Amino acid sequence: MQEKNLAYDLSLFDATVKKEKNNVVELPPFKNKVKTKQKLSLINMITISLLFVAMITVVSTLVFSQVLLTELTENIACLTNELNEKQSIYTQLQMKADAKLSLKTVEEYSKSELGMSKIEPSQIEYIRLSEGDKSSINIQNVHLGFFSNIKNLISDILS
Amino acid sequence: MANGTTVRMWRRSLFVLIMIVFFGFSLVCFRLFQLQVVNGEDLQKRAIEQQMADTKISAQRGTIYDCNMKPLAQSATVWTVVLEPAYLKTDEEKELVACGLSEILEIDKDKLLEKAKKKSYYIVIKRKVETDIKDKIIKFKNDNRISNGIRLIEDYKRYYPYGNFASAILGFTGTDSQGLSGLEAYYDKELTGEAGRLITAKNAIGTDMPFDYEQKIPSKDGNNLVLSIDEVIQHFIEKNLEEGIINHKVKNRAAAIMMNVNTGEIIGLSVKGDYNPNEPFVIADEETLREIESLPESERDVAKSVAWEKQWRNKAVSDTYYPGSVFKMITECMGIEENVISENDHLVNCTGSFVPYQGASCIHCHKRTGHGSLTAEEALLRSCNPGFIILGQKVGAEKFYQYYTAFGFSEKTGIDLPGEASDIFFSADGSMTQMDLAVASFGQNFSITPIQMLTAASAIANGGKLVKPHVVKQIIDANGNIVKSMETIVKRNVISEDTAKRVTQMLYKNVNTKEGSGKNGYVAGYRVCGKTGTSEKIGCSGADGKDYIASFCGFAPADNPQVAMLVYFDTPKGESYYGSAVAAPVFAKIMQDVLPYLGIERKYTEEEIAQLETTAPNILGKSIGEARNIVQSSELNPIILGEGEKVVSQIPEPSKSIRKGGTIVLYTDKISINEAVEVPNLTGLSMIEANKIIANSKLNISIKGASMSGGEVVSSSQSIPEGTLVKPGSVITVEFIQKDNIR
Repeated sequence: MQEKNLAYDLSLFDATVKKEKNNVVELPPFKNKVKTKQKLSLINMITISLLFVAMITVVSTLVFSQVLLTELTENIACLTNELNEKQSIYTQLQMKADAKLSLKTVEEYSKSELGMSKIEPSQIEYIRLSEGDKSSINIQNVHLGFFSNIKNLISDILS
Repeated sequence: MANGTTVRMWRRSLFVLIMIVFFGFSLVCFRLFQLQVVNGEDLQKRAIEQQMADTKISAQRGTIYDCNMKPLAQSATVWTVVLEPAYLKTDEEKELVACGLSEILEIDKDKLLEKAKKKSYYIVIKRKVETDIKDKIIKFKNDNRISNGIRLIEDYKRYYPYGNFASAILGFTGTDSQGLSGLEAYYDKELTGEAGRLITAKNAIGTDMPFDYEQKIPSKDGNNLVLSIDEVIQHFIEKNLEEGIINHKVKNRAAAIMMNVNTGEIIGLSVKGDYNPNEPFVIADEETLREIESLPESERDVAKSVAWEKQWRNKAVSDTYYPGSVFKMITECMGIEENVISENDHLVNCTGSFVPYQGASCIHCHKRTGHGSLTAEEALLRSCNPGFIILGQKVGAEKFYQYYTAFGFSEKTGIDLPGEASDIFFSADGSMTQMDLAVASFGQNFSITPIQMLTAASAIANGGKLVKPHVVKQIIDANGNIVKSMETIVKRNVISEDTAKRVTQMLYKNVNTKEGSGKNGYVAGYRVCGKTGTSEKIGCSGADGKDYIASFCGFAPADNPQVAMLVYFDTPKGESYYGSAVAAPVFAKIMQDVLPYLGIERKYTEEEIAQLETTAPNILGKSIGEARNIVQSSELNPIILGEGEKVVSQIPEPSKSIRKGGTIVLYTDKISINEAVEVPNLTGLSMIEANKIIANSKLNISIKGASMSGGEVVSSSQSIPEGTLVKPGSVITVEFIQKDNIR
């Protein structure tokens, strides 16, 4: 029996054994937690990898198409220039050829070198072509039936 | 205590951070402001210059085609060689460039070296260099690894493939491809086109990135012109005009214009004494060139300018002249339209001279002995000056000027060629003194242009309508679409159809009957109408007296006129200066070529049929008897040479033309083929004399010219010269002209 001293509650001064707070929370087994973490990381990695690959592909395609466009543009410009040059060479050569084949040159050559002469009036024969036979056909007034008249009227409207 | 210290530290740190951020951003904002606002415009410009390429897309000048789409003038790309001496640092480089370019461009090396030593980035060495030369220059640059120093700039060159062919119509272009003369100048706006622009972004190496940014204003190539000129007809005109200038020693050029009387289309226009539009600054006339070279150095430039202007001038449109007797057809129209005379009415009793009114000077007829009594028709046929003075008086000065205006002489025709001149009449308001009327009636003392005269003559030919002449038929774009089509413009009716027909009939008789003065314009099988003209050039007298203009104006065929032509020679100094002797034969030769080309059928009169040529039958390999029968049945005369039994050779050859009643020489062995005869002189003879001499020489004659029109004719030329050795039976073409010199 404890002595109680009401004036002094000595029990308060007694050494008490502190109760340990039980702060320990019981967790589920450690094993489960580790497994979930592993699963999430793998999916993420695959997704991220795929995304990365897709991005690289898109960027590469863009860059490649730009390069291709640049090259093609240069090719077109080169070929256009070449075409213009060839056209001008054609015109120059055509003009030179025409100069050598002028009517004056041809006439002189045919007279002096080939011994040809101008066509004589007696060598020309004029032929009159007939314009073709013409005939006129008299269309007689034919009495058509009621239904024939309607049919003709409809085809006239439609035509 | 630990809590208070931490908050203060945080607050202090935050404050410092904010200050740093604020300070940093202020700097950035300030810089942004400076770049965007203060220097913004300038930097934008520099960025555009750096990032954008602005390329001019030059437009090609349009092509000029004839009516059959044959190109008469066309442009092609060429290059300008530019030297950039500032890029040539060492003497070796300059020497190398000068040597190389001198060899390729055929320029003096020392001159190039001098230019290479200048401190410039742009010295033009040679313009209008063609592709082959340009390729050589590029090869030279590549071989010698010359990146800067020589530049090739694209340019255009105008080509005229046929040289001086139609040069008066086409004109020429300048250094910048601008039209300076002729159609090139008149239609310069249509031919030039519009340059385009291409603005693109460029990358770091200067290549275009059109997909990134591009703004393009496409160039519009110049439109093309399709002329009413026919290249073949133009050739006929030019050839015969050139021949006429040589034969008649013409001193001051010649011109010929041919027009479709119904539409006003000019189908041929030639001015001889012309130039090559590929080299317009080269003086084509050798005599003029010699004269300039003989001048002192100080006077040469002025003389050259005068010579250039002369050769570029379109005589058919820009020069005026006194029309002379050609104008009598107009006066005749006035008289008939006003009903003051009729064809068979007596008009004059020509004594060789006439005093138009009391106190006036005497005006002579070209026939000083006089024509005697003449009707109105005969006055035209004989080209009697007194007859037309009287006719002019009957019409009256006021009416005369009214018809003068109605026929279009007082205004420009409006032809689409530059430099058209106006007429020069006696007075601005058309008033005339009695003497003015007298001389004007036969085409003297007032000046008109050849195109005005031809247009008026066409009005007679087409039944009285004055049409507007034009050279361009259509304007088409680079893709061949028609942009503009020139329609026929009838300005007004000048005379009635009846008057036109009656005057046409008179002009037909003028060429086709022995009474006419225009017999040298005759063409067998074609009903040609026309009038000769010989006008004095008052005030332009040469050292040896007066100068004249010989002309002939006519149209054909009379029953349905299609084409009209005026031929005129300025100052002929040959044997004759008369229109009948100089211009009319040339007119006939041109019509001889043109009318069959146009498909107009020959319609021979009975007289003409009797004198027609036939073709030699083929009698090679036939026996002598057979051959003789065939030849005689063809109305020809056989001459048999050699000892053989069969014909081994014949002259003329089978199917060659031979005059009816002509001679065919038949060779029966190879020895006789070597036989030759000398061609005799056949000029200056009558037809009978020429025929006789030819027959005696065992040759054949082919007659051309005024022979079939009757009247006194003499031979003027022969196709094979006198003294030439030819085979018996050879055909010699002899040309005949009317003997009388009539104005």
